[in-house]
Amino acid sequence: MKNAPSSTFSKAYGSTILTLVVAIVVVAGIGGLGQLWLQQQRGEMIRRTEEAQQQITQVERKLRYLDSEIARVHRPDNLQNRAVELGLNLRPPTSGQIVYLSREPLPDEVDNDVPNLFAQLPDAPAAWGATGVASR
Amino acid sequence: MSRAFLPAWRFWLIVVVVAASFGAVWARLYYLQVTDAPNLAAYAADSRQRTQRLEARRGDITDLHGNLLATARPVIDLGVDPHALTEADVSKLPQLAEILKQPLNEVRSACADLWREDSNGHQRAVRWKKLATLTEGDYQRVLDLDFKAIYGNRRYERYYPANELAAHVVGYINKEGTPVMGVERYLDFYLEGQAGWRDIERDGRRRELAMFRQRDVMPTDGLTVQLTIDWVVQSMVEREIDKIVEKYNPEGVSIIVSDPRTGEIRAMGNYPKFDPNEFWEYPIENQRNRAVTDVYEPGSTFKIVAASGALEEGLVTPDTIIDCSKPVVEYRGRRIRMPNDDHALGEIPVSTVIAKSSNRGAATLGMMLGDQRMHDYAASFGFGTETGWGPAGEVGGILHDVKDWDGLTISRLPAGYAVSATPLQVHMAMSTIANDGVLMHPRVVHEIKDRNGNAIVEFTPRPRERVISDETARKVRAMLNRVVSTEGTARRAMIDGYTVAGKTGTSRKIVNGHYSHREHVGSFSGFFPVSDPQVVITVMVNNPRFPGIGYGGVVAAPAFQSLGEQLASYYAIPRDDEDESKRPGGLYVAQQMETVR
Repeated sequence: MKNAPSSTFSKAYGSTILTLVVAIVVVAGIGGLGQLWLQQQRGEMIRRTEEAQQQITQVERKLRYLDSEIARVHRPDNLQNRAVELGLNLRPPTSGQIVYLSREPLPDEVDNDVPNLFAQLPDAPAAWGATGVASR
Repeated sequence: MSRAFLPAWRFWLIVVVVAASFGAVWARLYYLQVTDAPNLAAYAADSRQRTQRLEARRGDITDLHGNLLATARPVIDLGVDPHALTEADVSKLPQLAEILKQPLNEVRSACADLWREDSNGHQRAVRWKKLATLTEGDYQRVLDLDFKAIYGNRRYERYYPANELAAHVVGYINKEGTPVMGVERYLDFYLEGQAGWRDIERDGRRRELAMFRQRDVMPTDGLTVQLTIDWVVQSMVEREIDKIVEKYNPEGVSIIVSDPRTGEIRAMGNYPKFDPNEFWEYPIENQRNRAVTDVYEPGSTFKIVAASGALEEGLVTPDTIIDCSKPVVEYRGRRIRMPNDDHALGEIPVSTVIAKSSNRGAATLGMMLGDQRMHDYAASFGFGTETGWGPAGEVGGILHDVKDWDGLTISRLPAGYAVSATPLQVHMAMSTIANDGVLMHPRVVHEIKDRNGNAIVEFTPRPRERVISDETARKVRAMLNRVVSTEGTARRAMIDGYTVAGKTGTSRKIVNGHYSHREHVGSFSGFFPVSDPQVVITVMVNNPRFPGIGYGGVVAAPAFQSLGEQLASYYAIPRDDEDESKRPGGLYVAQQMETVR
C-alpha cells in the first residue's frame, strides 16, 4: 500500500506534463503557422506596395511627358501659327477694348512698394558738395 | 549481419571507407562553414545585396507665368536582344521600322547583329543593341506590337519645350549631364536635387526581394526656378530679331526688354540663335549670350551720361546754349580737335544736342564736367563693371581710369567712343533714367519654389546706386522724348498714342585696328510712357549689311517701335493721349496695374 500515493502523484503529474507538452506543441504550431501567415501577408503587402509605387512612377512619368508636350504645343509662336492656319484673324486688343478697374491697394502692396527701396540709397551726387563725385 | 559470414578485413575495409567518406564530408563542411565561411558569406551577400542609387529629378525652369522653359522628361532607349528574337518578332519588324521612322533594312541589320568584338579581340554575344530613343507615345505603340526581344529602358532627359526661345538665358545641359551655361549652370545647386539610395536584395533572376529591403532613402527632386522672363514677350523679341536678320543680315543682334522699376528682365534675345535640344548641331559661337558677353562702343546712346552729369552738377540746364561749330577747342591748356557732326548745328541748346545727337555738343558737356567727373558718372551708370545679372559669362566692358586717358578721350568718351559696353550695360544705364535716377541690378530669377509651389528663395528688386536725382532724371527724360519725335534722330521709334524717350547710337566698328567706314553697330535704347515708364527696350544690331550706314535710327528704332506697340497692348499700358478722366482712377490705376501684373 506504500506505492499508492506515489502512483497517484505520478499519474497526476504525468497528465499535467502531457497537457503542457500538448499545449506547448499546439501553441508552437499555431505560433509558427501564424508567423508564416504574417510573413506571407507582409510579402503580399510589400508586393502590392511595390506595384503601387511602380504605377505612381509610371503615372508621374506620363504626367511629366504630358507637361512637356503641353508646353511645346502652347508655345506663343506655335499658337500664333495655329491661329493663322485656322484663319482666326486674331488681333491684339485696342485701347478702347481695355477696361481699367480701380481698387484700393492691399496693405502688403503698400509695404512692398518698390520705390520705398530707393529711400535707403544715399543722396544724389550733387548733394555731396562742390567736389562732385570724385570722392566716390 | 554476423561477422561469421564476413571476413574481418572486408568488414574493416567497409568501416574505413564509410568513415572516410563521412570524414571527407565533415571536413568539407568544416571548410565551408568555418574556414572559408566569411569569404563565402561575403560572396553570397555580394551577389544578393545591392545599393541602388535613386536619381533625383532635375527641377524645372519656368517663365514668370509658370510656362515650362526647361524640364526633365522621360524618354525610352529602345533596343533589341538579337539572340532572343523570335520568328513572330521578325515578322513585325516592318511595323517597327515605320514607328521608328527608319529604313527597314537598318532595323533588320541591327537585329541580325549577334556578335561583337571586345577590346581584347574576343567575340562577345550582343545582349542589347540600341535602336532608337522614343517618347512615351511612340513606345506605347511599340509595346502594342508585343515583341519578345525588343524592349526599352526609361530614363529622364533634359528637354526644352520652347526650343530657341530664351535659349541664351536658360542655357542647357550637355550629354554628360553637366550644366554648361545660363540659368542651368547658375542655379545648378537648386536645380540638380539630391540623389537617394536603397539597400536591396535580389533573387537568382536578379529581381528585387522587396521584403528584404533594408534602408530606403528617397531622392529629393530639384527645385523649380521661376524666371522673370515672360515667354510671350520673349516670343515678340525673337520675332523682331528674325525680321532684322531677314532685312539686314547682320553679324549679331541683341534685344533686351525689362521693367525699369524692378530691374526684372522680361525678355533677352540674341542672334545667332541655337536650340538647346540639339545644341551640338550649332556652332559654339551661337551659344554666346551676346547681350552680356559682347562689348561694343555704344556711340550716341552714351550721351545720356554726359548730359545727366552736366545737369546733375548744375553746370547746364536743358536750355543752355552750346556752341557746336568749333572744330578745335582749348581744354586745360591744350588744343583739342572736336569730333565731327553729321550736319553743322551751330549754337544749340542742350536739349537739342541730345535730340540731334551732336558729338561736339556731347564732347563740350564732357569737358564741362572734367575728366574725373566724366569718368565717375560713367562708372556710376554702371559702365566698366559687370551688372551682376547672375549667370556666368558676363563681361564688365572697358572704362579706362583717367590716368590712362590720352589727349582725345575727353572729347570722344562723351560721344560713346573710347568706352566699350555690353548691350545690357547700355540698357541698365537707360533704365536708370526711366527709374528716376536709380540704377538697379538686373534680375532674371523671380523665385525658387519647391514641388508644392511654395517659395523657397525669393529674389527682390535690388537698387544698386542713385546716380542722379529724380529731378535730373525727369529733365533727361524730357530731352530724350525730343529724340523720339519728328525733330529727333529716332522718329522711327515713335509709338502712336504714347510718349517715348530714347537714344539712338551708331558707332563705327574697329576693323584691323582702324575705325571702319563700312561696318557699324546701330542701336536704340528707350522707354515709354515718359510720364510713368513701364518698359525699357534696347535693340543692338551688329554690322547690318545693306547699302549705306547702319544708323541706329534706321536699323534698330523700327524694332523698338514694333515691340513697343505689341507691349503696350500686352501690358494694357494706358495711352498718353487719352483723357485721364475717362479712366477710373486715372494714373493711380496704371500704377496699380504694375502690381496686378
